[in-house]
Amino acid sequence: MENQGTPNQENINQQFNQQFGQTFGQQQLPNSTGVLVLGIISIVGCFCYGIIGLILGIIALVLASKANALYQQNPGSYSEASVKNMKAGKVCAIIGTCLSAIVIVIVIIELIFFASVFSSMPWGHLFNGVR
Amino acid sequence: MMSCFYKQITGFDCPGCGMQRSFIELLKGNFKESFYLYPPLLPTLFTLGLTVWHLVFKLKNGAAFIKYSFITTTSIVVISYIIKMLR
Repeated sequence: MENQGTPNQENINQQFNQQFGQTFGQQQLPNSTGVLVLGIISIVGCFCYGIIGLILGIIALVLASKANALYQQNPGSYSEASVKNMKAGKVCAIIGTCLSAIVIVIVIIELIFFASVFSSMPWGHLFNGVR
Repeated sequence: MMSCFYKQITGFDCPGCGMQRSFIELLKGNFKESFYLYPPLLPTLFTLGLTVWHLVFKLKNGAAFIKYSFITTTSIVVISYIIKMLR
């Protein structure tokens, strides 16, 4: 009840930013386009090796979380388009990271399978018989 | 053409195998054969092109369009890979 009469400093800052942010020209969120581009390239890089997509996706997720923390501090001072870019890029990066992680797990399982198959074959007998 | 590391070792196709062959067919103008070789090539190119378009010309709802086209592209990739493996 007491807080209603005296709004604290953060509320004043938020109201100020919401009211005058558009007139003063809003900043772009840092790395918003970078997050979008990295998130989309992560799906292209996830196919063959899996590692490229994982690295790009994790970089995009880290950048997105940093940008999201900045945006939560004072929303309204950043332009809406860059925030949308950042959120779309975050979704793309999550999907790309998940897919490339699945691909890496499958590759590791198959490598273990093939390694066990080849190591359990009787190579010594085969070569001794040939020579 | 770059050869696939995964295919060299295991002999199976990876989810991206066929993309370069399909792209070459697309450059030659054979849309049908490129679609049969690798169905998700056109959606992938569409998503990349949409991203470049959005970053250059600042579309109004471009981010949402990119998100949905990305989701459909990934689902097409996964479904076509499963169909290719089951066949």
